Amino acid sequence: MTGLSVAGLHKSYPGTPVLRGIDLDVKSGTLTAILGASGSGKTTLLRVITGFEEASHGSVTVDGTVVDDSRHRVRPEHRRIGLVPQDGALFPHLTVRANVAFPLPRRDRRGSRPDEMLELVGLSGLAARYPHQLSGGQQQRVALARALASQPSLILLDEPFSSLDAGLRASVRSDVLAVLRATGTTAVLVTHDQDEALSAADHVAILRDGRIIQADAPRQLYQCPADPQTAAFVGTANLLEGTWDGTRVTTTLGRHGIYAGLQTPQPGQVTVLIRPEQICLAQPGTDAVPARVTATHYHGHDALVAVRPDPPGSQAGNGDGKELRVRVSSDAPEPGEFVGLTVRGSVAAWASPAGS
Amino acid sequence: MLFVRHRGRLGTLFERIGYLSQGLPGLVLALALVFFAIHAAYPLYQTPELLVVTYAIMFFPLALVSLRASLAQAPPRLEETARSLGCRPTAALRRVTLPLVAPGIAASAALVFLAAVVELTATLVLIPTGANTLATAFWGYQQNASYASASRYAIVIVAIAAIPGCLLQRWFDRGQEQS
Repeated sequence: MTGLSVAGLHKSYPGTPVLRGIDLDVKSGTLTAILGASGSGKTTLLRVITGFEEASHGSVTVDGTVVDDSRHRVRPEHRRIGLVPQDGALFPHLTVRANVAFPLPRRDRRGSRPDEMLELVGLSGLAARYPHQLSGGQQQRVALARALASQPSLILLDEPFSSLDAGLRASVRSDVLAVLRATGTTAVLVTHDQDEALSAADHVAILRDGRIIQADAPRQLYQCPADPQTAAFVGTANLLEGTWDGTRVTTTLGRHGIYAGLQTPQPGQVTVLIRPEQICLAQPGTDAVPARVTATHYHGHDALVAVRPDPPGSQAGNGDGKELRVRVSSDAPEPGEFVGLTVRGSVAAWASPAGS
Repeated sequence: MLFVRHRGRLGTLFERIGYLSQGLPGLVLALALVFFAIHAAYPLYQTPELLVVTYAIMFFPLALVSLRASLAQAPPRLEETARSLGCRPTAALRRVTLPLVAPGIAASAALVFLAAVVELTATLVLIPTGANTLATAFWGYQQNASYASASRYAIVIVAIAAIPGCLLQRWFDRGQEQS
């Protein structure tokens, strides 16, 4: 069962196409993240789905009902889409309880539904407060309770955590996700934060220049991105030149297998993705590739070490000396130290653009 | 409301013209309207209606400025949120936008009312013969040095000015607690 289906969606403003053929399917009861940089068309896509903008071409289907195609449109208030806007957008003149009761028919507003929703998001004690008396995280949870109150077919979360500070963000996010899973709601999370998208969603769709570049499970997306640009967008990426002979790929760092299921390029020059955590630091002098540490960025839970591989002079063609980033969990080496590099696991590779 | 939300060239022009009338001395505006009434709309000359029109032109910018401020309290985003929650456009206006802008509308109405009550120069020129506003009555007695008679009107003016002031003050205090 498909909770949300977007097919061939185009949207242009006079003179500027914003969405250029979006195809996206969200299974009922799952959470899909739409990940895109600012200006990629995220907001426009969201506004077309909610009905505040009209699609130029294509169709939007929510829970089996076509809500927008070239022939007819369902008004926003009849789409049964719950929206959780960026900063909550609670109604400032209403109490928390009245905010949650807002979407309900008049006879149900005094009933138990608003209290149940507040309990669901863990804010029963704040029913009589006004929005300005709540913290940012509490406001987001009230906005979620309000969106869920009328049992919508679909919840849209528009960068709901971006205004929260880092410490709060993780806890509010996990609370919100727990509520969505508990209620089995189909949800779409729009975000520009790749950590958030990868950790929260069942599926992640990459939106770039008005197109969905790739829609996959987070692990698949991280390991086998559709192209080098996507690779760099969803995490730190070491992109190396290599040679693919049909079975193994050879780079400065050795010979590697490539992921099964990946569309294998023609033998020849390829661009290879190696994630920082795939590179291990070893003692120099073994069969590891010698390298020199140029910088260390300490993050607490881990450290990102910049190294410049220095292959023996014999392999002059490969030794482009390009800086690589290596993630180490403890005992980061100091800049200037010599280390050895080995690669574990398979890599992703794409045919190099012609002429390079 | 349309001017603030949908800023077009025409709207901006109209608004600027509105502000212009605030810059004109009341006397100039009044004489212009006398001229207009005599030549183009004679039935209006010396009527209370013309006086009301004058007040409308004079105090339009005042109303606009305070309305603009209160509309900022109700961003379109809140209306959209209300619609996504199942409200028709009219219901969204009634349940979200109006409650948020009502204090501002009341405040601007009170401001304009106060300004109109005490307006003197244009009123003196345009008032129908024999009629009086509080301000012209006060002015008339004061001119004749009948300060005792004039003071009655002065007191009424002060009282009228105070009442909406007090009401608004209470309203805003309540609003402050909420928003």
